[in-house]
Formats: sequence, C-alpha cells, structure tokens
Amino acid sequence: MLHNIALFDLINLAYLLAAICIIVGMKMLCKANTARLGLLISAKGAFIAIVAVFFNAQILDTWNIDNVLQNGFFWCFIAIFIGAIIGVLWARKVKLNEMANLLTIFNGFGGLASALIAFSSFYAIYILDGEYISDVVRDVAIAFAVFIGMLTFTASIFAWAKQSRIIATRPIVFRGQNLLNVLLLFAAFVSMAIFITPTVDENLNFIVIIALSAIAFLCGFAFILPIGRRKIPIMVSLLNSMTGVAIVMLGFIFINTMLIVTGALITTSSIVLAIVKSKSLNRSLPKLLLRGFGVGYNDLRISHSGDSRSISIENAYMILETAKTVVFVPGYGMTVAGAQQIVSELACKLERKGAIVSFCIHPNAGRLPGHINTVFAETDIPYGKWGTPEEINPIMPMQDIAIIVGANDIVNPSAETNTSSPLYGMPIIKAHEAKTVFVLKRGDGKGFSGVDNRLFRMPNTIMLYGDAKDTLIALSNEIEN
Amino acid sequence: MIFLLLVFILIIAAFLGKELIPRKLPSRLHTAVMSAINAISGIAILGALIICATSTDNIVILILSMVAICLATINLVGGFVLTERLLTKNLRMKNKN
Repeated sequence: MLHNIALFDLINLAYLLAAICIIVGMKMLCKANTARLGLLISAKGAFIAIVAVFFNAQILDTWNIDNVLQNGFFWCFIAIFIGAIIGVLWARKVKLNEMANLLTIFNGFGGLASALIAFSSFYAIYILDGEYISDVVRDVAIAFAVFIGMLTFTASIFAWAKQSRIIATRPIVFRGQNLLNVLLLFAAFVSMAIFITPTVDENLNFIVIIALSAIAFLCGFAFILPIGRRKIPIMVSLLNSMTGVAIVMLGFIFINTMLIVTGALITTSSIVLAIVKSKSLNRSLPKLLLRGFGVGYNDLRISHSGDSRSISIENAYMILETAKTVVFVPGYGMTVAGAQQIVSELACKLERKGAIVSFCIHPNAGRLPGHINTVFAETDIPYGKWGTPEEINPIMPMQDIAIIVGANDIVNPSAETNTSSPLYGMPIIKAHEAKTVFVLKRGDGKGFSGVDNRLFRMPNTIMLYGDAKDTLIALSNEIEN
Repeated sequence: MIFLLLVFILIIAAFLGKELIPRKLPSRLHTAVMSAINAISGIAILGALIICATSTDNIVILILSMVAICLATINLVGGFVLTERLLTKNLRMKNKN
C-alpha cells in the first residue's frame, strides 16, 4: 500500500514537471529568438508525461515476461512506433505549400484519437460482467469527449478538403441552414441526455453513443460548410481548442491531472490565438464567425461590369521598359508556379536598366501567414526591398507599374469599398492605385475566398494570362534582346 | 471531492492558457504557434496508453486503443517535426537581414 502511494506521488510529480515544461515552452515559443528552444522544452514535457504514465500501477501490473501478448507495454510500444514513423515521415515529406494543410489533418487525428479513447473506455465498462454502474461525471465526460472529438475530426477533414480545393472553397449557404444546425445540435443534446441519465439498460447506451458519433460527424460537416477560405486558418485554431476540450474530458474519465491541465491550456490559448489572428484580418472574432452564418451572400455575385484587357508579352514589355518605378506584389500563385527565383532575376534586370524596384508582401498572402517571406528568403532579393502594405500603400500612386504575381484576394479593392463582401475590412495592398497594373494569372478563376475581383476589369489593369513563371521568363528575355 | 479538485485545476489552467499567448504575437509566428499547440494536443495519448495496456484480453478495445495511440502519436510527433520545420524556415529568413 505504502509502495503504491509513493509511486502515485512520483507520477504526479512527473506530471507537474511535464506541465511546467509545456507552459514554459509555450511561453518561449511566442518570441522569435527563443521559439526553437521553447518547442524543444514543450516536446520534452510531453515525453516526460508519456514515460510517467507507464509507471501507473494499472499498467505496471500488466508487465509479463512469460506471455508477451498479455503484456500491455508490448502493444503500446508497437502502436507508438508505427505512429511515430508515420508522423515523422509525413511531416518531413510534406511540401512547404501544404504545411498548413497537414496541420489541419493532424488536428483531426487528435480529435479522432480522443473520441476513440472515450469510446473504448465506455466499451470496457460495457462488456464488463455484472451490473452496469452509472457514474454521472464519467458518463458526461465520455459523451462530450466522443461528440467533440468526432466533430473536430470531421470538421478538420472538411477544412482540409476545402483548403486543398478538393471541395468548393467558397462559403456554402442555403435556405434552412440555421434550422438544420439547430436540429443537429438538438439531436446531439438529446442523445447526450439519454446517455447521461442513470440507466440499467447498457445496450441502449451503446446505441446512443454510436448515434452520437454519427450526429457529431454531420455537425462537423455543417460547421465547415459556411466558412470561406480566408477564415479556415482561424477555424483550425478554434478546432484546436475543441480538441483541448475533448482532452479535458479524457482527464475526467481517467482522473488524470496532466490531461486536464494540458487540455485546458490548449483550449484557452487556441481561442486567444484565433482572436489575435482575426485581428490581423482587422476583424473581431465573433463578427468573423457570425458572418458565415448570416445573410447577405447573394450580394457577393456582383454583376460583371466591363471586361478585362489582355495584351501580348511584347506590348507588355514596351510598357515595362518605360517604367521608372516598379512594385511586385507576390501571392500564393507565385509559390505554386515556383516563380520566386525568376521574379528576383527580373527585378535585377529592371534595376540595371535604372528602375526602382520594391516588393510589397502582404502578411496574409499565401496559405499561411509569413508564407511569402519564407519563400523569398531563398532568393537573392535584399531584405531592404521588402515592404509591408503599410509601408508601400502610401507610395503606390507614384508607382508606374504594379506587377501582381499570382495574388488575388489581397489586392481586391472591394475589401475597402463593398461592405457586403466577406473580404470587407481586410487590409489590402492598394495595387489598383498604381498607374498601370499587370496581373499575372493562370486563368479567369476567382481567388480562394471565391469573391469576384473588380481590379481585373479596371481601366489601368492589364491581364497577362498563363503560367506566372513562363510569363516572367518571357518578359525577362525581352529585356535581354 | 476529487471532482472539485480537478475542476479547480481545470479553471486555473484555463486562465493560465489565456495569458500565455501575447496579444502582439508577430504574424510570422502565428502558424508555428498554432502548429505547436496542435502538437501538444497529442498528449491525449496518455489516455490511450492506459486503456491499451489494461485491455490486452479484449481484441476490440485493444485494436481501437492501438489506433488511438497511432493517431495521437502522429499528432504529437508529426506536429513537433512540422513546427520545427516551420521555425527553421522562419529563422533562415531572419538570418538574412
């Protein structure tokens, strides 16, 4: 008995150490110069907690040399081994462009794991011989963990599909959507209530928990439908906080302080992160979220007024040749085409001809904040020529040419003028104020937000259709001739 | 009693989490911090380990919990590797200026 108490204390001490590591690590992560060390410390914290859990009396008792198949350690290590290999390979192999997407999938896995754990702990009680014993705290925790875990899983997978353009990226809104959402939540509420109510009929509970998973699956889908692409990173932060809630629930199932502390930290810090992020889009979080559920999406289909203008590369070069000031506006399309190197070459050539070249980098361009900076870091463009929208916008009217390389939403003027646009309020690069605007674009498609861009039909805008890299190489060759 | 104690811990930790992220987080760290928080959520593996180790005699629970361990480990290990990669990219950019 004494031995067990000492071990129990030791485990909790290890959890305490692990929690401190995670807290200190997260604090350090938020500063650029200590970020990597912070990451290492929080990883160590997680490692300490995992080692400590094996000293749990329940697990230690399963140690069995004679029959390996009965040994809990054996199965645990196999599963950890498989998971670690998949995780490391996947995270290493993924392309830079897809990193944010992978994050979304990983988050979904966390949610699914929580749901599975809660379900297995219910199943373990369910198959026990003898009378089914209700425990309100445990049952509430199981119901919530299954529901929230499943919801996070499906919502993350659909968010991922939306980000990878597997399903339509624009917000989908239809009549009766709110009613459907309310009905789904009501169904979830009813099944949870049935599950929690002390009952002797364990078979009913088994059916209810399966039904709850199915409802959570639908909820996750309904949750993501009205969300547009720009909001997905913020949505992922919120889904992350929901995984945190599921982990707290697991903590209540297993009476485990580590799970509760970490889950609570994840929940609130993710919400704060979502708030900070939505501020970088110049919106408040509730406004940003409610927009998708509200009305007004019919206003999005602005009537097409006027036509866009496109010219040949030779003619474009004639205009470019006379330009004294040129600003490049890179976007996600540039990273897809892999055109950063050729952008840097073209800029060099223009400078040699006497033009003043600058680069305007929007913090939200690309798939993740800072994406363009990261890609540009690999080129020879001197850091002094990079500017933020706040720095470049005031001098935009003085620019002879703004060259937009595969950007769309971040230069959409309707973010400033059209209050019904989902982009409204987002700070943009005012490329349309330049004397001439070149838009390098693959086709007539819309931006990721699915919103029409008036810029393309403005009188000072010239479209250069085709792969951004090919167009830039052609322009660059013209200079040489 | 133990329930109240757990709720107590929960609320204190929730407030701590709220204070942990600075309001002026540099925007190029947004994704890395999100990725790190996501990685930490792989800590759900603790619950899966307890279930898995104590249910070696039931094949259904064993398989379910092993899948859960796998998923949580992918979340944890993959998440940390991913965050490391994101930070490395950012640091290379910093060294340039």
